[in-house]
Amino acid sequence: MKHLLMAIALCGLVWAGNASAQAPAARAEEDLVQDEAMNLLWWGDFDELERRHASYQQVDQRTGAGRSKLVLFRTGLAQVFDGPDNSKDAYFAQMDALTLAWARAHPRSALAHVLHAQALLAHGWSYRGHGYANTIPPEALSDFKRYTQAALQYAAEHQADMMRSSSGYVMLLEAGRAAGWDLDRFRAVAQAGMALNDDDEGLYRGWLAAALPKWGGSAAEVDRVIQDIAKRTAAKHGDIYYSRMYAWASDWEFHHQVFSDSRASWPRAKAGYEELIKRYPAAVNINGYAHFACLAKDKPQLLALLQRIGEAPVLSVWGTNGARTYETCQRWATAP
Amino acid sequence: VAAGLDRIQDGVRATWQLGPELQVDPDLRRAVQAMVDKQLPRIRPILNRWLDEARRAQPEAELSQHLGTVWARANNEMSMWQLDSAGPEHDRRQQKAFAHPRACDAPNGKSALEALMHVWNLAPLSERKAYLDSEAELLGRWGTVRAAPPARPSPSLDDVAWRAIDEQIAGKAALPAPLTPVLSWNLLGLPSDRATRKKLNCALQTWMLATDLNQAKGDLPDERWLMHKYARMPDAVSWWDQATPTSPQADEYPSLARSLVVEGSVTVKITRQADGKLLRTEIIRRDLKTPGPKDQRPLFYETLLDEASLAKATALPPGQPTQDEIKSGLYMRQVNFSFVLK
Repeated sequence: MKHLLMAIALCGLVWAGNASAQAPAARAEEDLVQDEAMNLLWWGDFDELERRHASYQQVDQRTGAGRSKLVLFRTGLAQVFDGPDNSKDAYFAQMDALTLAWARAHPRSALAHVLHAQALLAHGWSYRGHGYANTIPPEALSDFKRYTQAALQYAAEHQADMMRSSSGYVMLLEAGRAAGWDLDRFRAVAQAGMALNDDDEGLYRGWLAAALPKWGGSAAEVDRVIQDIAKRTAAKHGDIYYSRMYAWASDWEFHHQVFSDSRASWPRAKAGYEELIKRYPAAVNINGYAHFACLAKDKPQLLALLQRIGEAPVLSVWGTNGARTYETCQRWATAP
Repeated sequence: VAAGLDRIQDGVRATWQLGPELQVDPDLRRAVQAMVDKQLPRIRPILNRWLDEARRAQPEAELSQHLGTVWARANNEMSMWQLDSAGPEHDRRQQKAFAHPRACDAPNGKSALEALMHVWNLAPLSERKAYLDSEAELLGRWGTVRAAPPARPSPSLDDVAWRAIDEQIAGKAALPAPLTPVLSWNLLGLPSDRATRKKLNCALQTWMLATDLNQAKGDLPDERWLMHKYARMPDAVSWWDQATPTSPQADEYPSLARSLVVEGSVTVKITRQADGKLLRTEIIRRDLKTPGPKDQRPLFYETLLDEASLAKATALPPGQPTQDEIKSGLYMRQVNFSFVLK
C-alpha cells in the first residue's frame, strides 16, 4: 500500500500518511519489514529506526521465506533516500541536513552516521541517475563524484563509531562502487564487515555487485565472490547462498544468459535451491527455483516445479519481464 | 425531538468512537473505551438541558432552529474540549506526545479521541496512566460551563509555518530545522496546491512543535503552545474540509458558512512592499454570529469566513503608501470584511 502511495506522491499528489497505522491485510512479511523501515524514515522516527536496526542485526533475522530482514530494512530506507523521480536538489539537501542533525545529536550511533553517509550518496546518485556514464552531463558527473567523496570523507571521519556495525561496511561497499574502487579493496571491506557480522547478507550483495562486469568486474570475479561466500556460509546454509547469489547476479546483469555468460553451475545451484525450499518452502522460493530451472533448460525440473506452483505464480521473481518469461517457460516446458 | 437529539448524540459519540482500523495496544484501547463508556450516559441529559435553554431563549423559534442551536453547541464542545487543559503537567505531556514524529501517521477519521489514542500509544508506557487521567478529567468537563478560552493568537501557527516553507522555497530564508521526508518530498519537489498543503498541515504542525520544543529546550512558552493548540483544534473548516470552493472567489459567500448560518465580520491585516507587491495577509479579528449559544465563543465556527476574507484581501488594489512607508519599504492596512446572509 505504501509503495502505491509513494508512487502517487511521485505523480504529484500528496501523501500525508495513514497507511501504516491501519490494520495490515494479508501482506507478505517482506513487504511489511521493508515498508515499516520506509515509513519510519518517511516520518523521521529515528528512535524507532535505531531499535529496528539493532533488532535486525541479530543473527538469523529472516522472514518465513528466508529473506534477510536487515536487507529489507535497508531497501525500505533506500526508497526514501532516493527521493521522488522529479525531485529537486532541495529534497536531498533536507535529507542531508536531517540525517546530519540526528548524527550530531547521537554521535555514538553507528546507524546515525550510516544514514547521513547514505543521504550524501543518494544526493550524488540524484545527479548521476542510473544510465551509462556516457549519457550523463559532465557537470552532473562532477556533482556525483563530489557527494560520493563527501560520503567517504564522512565515513572516514566517523569510522570509529560507524564501523561498529556491519551496516557501516555495507554503506562503504556502495560508496566504493560509486567511487570506482578496485576489487581488492571491496574484498577487504566485505571481509572486515563479515568479521563483525558474517550473517549480514548486505555484505554479500554489496561485494557481489562490485564484482559484476558492468561495475568493472568479470564473470570470473563474480564466481570468486560467490564461491567465497558459499564456502563461508556452507556449514550453516549448505549451498543456499551459491544459488541465491547467482540468482542476484542474473537479476542484476546476466539475466537469461546466466548459464552461458557466467560460471554458474546448474547442478550446484539446483542443490542449493533444494536446500532452500526444504528450509523455506515459500512460494517465492519455489518460483525462483523454477525460473532458474528454465534458464538452465532443465525441463523435467521445471515441469515438476510448475506443478507445485499451480495457478498462482509469483511473477516478481521471474526476471525483468516476469509475466512473459513465466508464460514462455511454461510453454517451453509443456511443448512436446 | 427525540430523533433530532438522537442524531446529535450520535455525532458526539462519533467523535469519541474507537474504530478497529487504528492499531494500538489492546490494554490502551480497553482503558480509553472504559473512559468513554463512563462519559456517554452524560450526553443525553446535557442535550436535553441545552434544548430547554434554547426554547426558553427563543420561544417563538421553530423546533429545527432549537435543534440547530443544540447541534452547534455540541460542535463547539468538541473544540472547547481539545483546547482545554488539565494543567501545566498535562500540557507538557501533550507537547511531547504531539511532537512525536509519527503523531500524524494515523487513520484520518472523524474521531478526535482516536487521534489522541494514537499519540498515547506512541508515548512511553510509564506515562500512559497520566495521559488517561488527564483526559478523563477533560472529558468529564464536556458540557459544563468553563472559563472563556484564551484569545486566538495572530498570526496563526499555520501562517508562521507556511511562511517559513514559502521563504525556504523562494530561497529567502533557511528553515529553523530540516524537514522530515514526508514534508520535503511533498513540498520541495513539486509546486504544492492548497489541497496538498491542507493534507500536510498535521505533519507540518508536528515538525513545528518538535522544532519549537528543541529551540525552547523543552520548556515551550505559553503563548507558543496556545498557537499549537489552536492549530490542532478541530473546527468546522477542518471537520468538513470545505470552507470555501477550491478556488475562492472574492465575491462568493462561503458555502459552508452559508449552510451553517454563520455571518459577521473579519478584519485582515495586509502587508505590502513599497512597490505594492503583496507580502502577506493575516486574520487579526473575527466577530461572528452563529446559531450556537450566545454566552460562548463560537470556537468551532470561528474560522469559517477566514479563507473568503483572505481571498477578498488578496484581490484588493494595492492602494498608495505614504512617504514614510515608502522609506520603510513596507506598508500595512487593516481591512474589515462583512458577510451578511440575504
